[in-house]
Amino acid sequence: MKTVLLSLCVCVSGFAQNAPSAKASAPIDPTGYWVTIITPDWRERMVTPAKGDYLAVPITAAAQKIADAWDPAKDEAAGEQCRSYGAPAINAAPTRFHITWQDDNTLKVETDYGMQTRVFHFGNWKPSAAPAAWQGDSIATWELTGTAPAKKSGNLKVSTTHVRPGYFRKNGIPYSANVRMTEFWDLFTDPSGTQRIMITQQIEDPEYLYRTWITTYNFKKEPDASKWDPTPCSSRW
Amino acid sequence: MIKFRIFTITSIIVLLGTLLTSGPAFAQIDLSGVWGFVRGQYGQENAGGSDIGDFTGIPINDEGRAVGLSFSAAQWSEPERQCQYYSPRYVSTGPFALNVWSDTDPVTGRIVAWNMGAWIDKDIVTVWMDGRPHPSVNAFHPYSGFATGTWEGDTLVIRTTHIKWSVLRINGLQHSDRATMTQYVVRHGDLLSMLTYFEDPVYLSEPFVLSSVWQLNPKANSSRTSPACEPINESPRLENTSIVPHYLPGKNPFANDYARYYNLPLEAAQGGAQTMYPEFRKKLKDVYHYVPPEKCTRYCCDSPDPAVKCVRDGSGQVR
Amino acid sequence: MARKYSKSWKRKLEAWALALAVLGSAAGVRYASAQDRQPNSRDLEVLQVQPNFYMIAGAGGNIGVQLGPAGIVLVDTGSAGTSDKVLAAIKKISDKPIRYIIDTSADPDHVGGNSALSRAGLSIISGVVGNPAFGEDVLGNNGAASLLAHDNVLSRMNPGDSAEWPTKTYTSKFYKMSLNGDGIETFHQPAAHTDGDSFVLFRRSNVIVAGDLFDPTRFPVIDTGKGGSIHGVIDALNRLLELTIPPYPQPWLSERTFVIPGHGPVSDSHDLLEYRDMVVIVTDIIQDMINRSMTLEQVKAANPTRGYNARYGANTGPWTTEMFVTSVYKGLSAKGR
Repeated sequence: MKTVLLSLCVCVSGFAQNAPSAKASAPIDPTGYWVTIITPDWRERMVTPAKGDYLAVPITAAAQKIADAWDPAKDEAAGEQCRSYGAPAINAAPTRFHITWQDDNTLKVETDYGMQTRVFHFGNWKPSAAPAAWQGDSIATWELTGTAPAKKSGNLKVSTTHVRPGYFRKNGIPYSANVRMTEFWDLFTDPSGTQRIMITQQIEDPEYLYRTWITTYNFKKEPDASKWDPTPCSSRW
Repeated sequence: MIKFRIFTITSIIVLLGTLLTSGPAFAQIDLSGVWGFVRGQYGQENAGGSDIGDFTGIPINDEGRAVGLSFSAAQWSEPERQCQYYSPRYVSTGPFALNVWSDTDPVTGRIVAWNMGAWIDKDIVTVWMDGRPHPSVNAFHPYSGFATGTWEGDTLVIRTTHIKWSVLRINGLQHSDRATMTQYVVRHGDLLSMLTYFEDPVYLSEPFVLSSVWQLNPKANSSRTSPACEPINESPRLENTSIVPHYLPGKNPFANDYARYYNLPLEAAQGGAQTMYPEFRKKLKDVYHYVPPEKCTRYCCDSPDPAVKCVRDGSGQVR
Repeated sequence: MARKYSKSWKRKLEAWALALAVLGSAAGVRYASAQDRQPNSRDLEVLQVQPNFYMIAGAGGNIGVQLGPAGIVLVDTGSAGTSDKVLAAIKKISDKPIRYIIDTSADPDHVGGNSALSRAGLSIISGVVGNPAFGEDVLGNNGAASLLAHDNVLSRMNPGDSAEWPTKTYTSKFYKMSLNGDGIETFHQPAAHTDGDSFVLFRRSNVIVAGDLFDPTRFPVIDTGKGGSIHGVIDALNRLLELTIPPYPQPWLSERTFVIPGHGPVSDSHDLLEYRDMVVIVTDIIQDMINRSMTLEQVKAANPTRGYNARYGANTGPWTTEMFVTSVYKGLSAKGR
């Protein structure tokens, strides 16, 4: 009996001590410098679109009312230049990412466009009571397939909430504080050997979106920081 | 004997524990079903189609631009063109559903092919999973191209060659019959995402990479084959003649329309690899001093909310 | 213990071995497609176009091969020196004799194997009847396979090598015959690539062998020295389009007319259309330049083939972009057209 219990204890403690960190168990390596490729919806993403251009966004009438009142000068005066740089907008933006491990269970995504920082927390991270920020709170998990550790594949899943209200696009299409975003990050190696990230993004906003807004964006890995170009937030550009 | 039993039981517990902490065993993903194209991107392409002269964000080269600018939409009235299928490249832009089903070997039960069909205007694409090689360069180019697939983890990687000449965009940009395509297909629950990596040594200066997403829709009614098609006499002057509608170099009267609609410089509207990357904004700002139009007057929204009134097409009419 | 289990284990082993053999061979079965049936000779490609029709590529110009109970009909014979390989390739798809050879032009890469391949064949023409002055050598090609071409091909051929010459020529718009259950129409297309071009329509097979009237590997070769012209090339492409049946009304099916070009891949009406359109567009551009009184040098400098250079053009070799532009310019500038 003692032998059985001892064996069981060894088993259980072994499981607890050996749980790998997010960094160690990562099925993909998203670190490095990445540049977005802007093709679809070019005039809505590369430049500030015209006021009243909501194409492809399933907005509600309430959102339209707010967007039609968009005034970049007002946002500047109020110090709200970063409204269009929040998490629900940043993947679509004309940006580069610099992705690093802040620690073994925290992935950091910095953008040169607007100089923003997103933080993806793995494990049992609990958000603080701090006010909502542009990038919100993001909880990340690896969705693994294959038999660890030799054959591991999978993707990153990120759930983001508690976001400070902002704009989906620079021309004032709003999202509310109740916006929720789920992202799936997949990494591939293309035929030339270059790595690519594809982000599939689902956004829900009961106030300003008529239905879930689902989009994809793709990024190409760059060898270094030579094209990294930090620019501050702007209400107009 | 008792010690042996204890040892055995313990070993079993340890083994079970190890197994439970492992990842799930690798298995191919089931892609079958009808997947509705999600209208959240490719706004204008899925509304009225890209404007003539809108080559933004596409890495076309000088030759590609020349062909694109010579295009006249009247070419679609050529009797021989009316029932032509679009290139499999066009899958990634939508707006139609994907109906996906598999073919299995009757003896082994293994999936030997995935089939993707059938949009109104595209051929069924058969993705061979049985390791067969691609045919030679002298083999026929079917509308679907020739596609083979392999699993890399949970990603279906599809390689397509033998693609016919077709449009890269409906506004006249073309790709040649030397184009090849690699697609990466992943499933996340009821979402099917695809990254398309398209190469054309004739008309593209670098790969053209797009991403798209579909959502499983068990209620969708999407057939596996396109409907039958019969050409009609749209333009008598094109029947049995050698008249080919096109614009002479520099003579396309619509070439600058897109740039004009959106206050864009021609260098942006006429595309090229530089227009895909964020640093192009510097040129737009510092060289061209870009300012958007005061307000949107065409293709302004496509919201499903009936309470949203806006200009939904090129007419300028709010509805 | 060994004696107790040996019989039943043996039976089990045998059963597993049989099962594995069956499953193993079944797992190796591939879905066959027409294009997969490729018996190959080294350096040549043999592609199946229809159940009874093949294309041989790599022997110079493409060779069309029609099979049937009577034997083999070839359209073109490739370059001289490739005939052994061509014969070896044919042997892998049929053991019947070559009965008839049809030449689409007098180009060496299309008729270089005339002599060798006709001699390797067997005439379908029976013994001489009527005027005894016409011997076996005239009508029956001394027992070798017959060779058909337009009369202008004969006049263009090397006078020193009669073995390459057609044994039968035609001067009318077409020549018809029935062979292997197929209606075979050889059409003359005047003043196109040359003045002796033919293309061959196999009605039942639903295949057209176009020769160099349609060559999607380059800009049309217009041999003005042998009577070719841009107008004739366009007429030829239009004529081919008229006769090519597209896969409508069910475009997802493989039923259609296949076109074997002089060089390059097996094609259909869509491929032919793209090529025809390109030729017409470039011709229109050059015509516009002529209308604006531009000289040949000015036209060349203006790059009238922009948009198509990468796909069809060449700066070196036997047929360059410059040669093509010059030929078109001169053809359009000639009086009377």
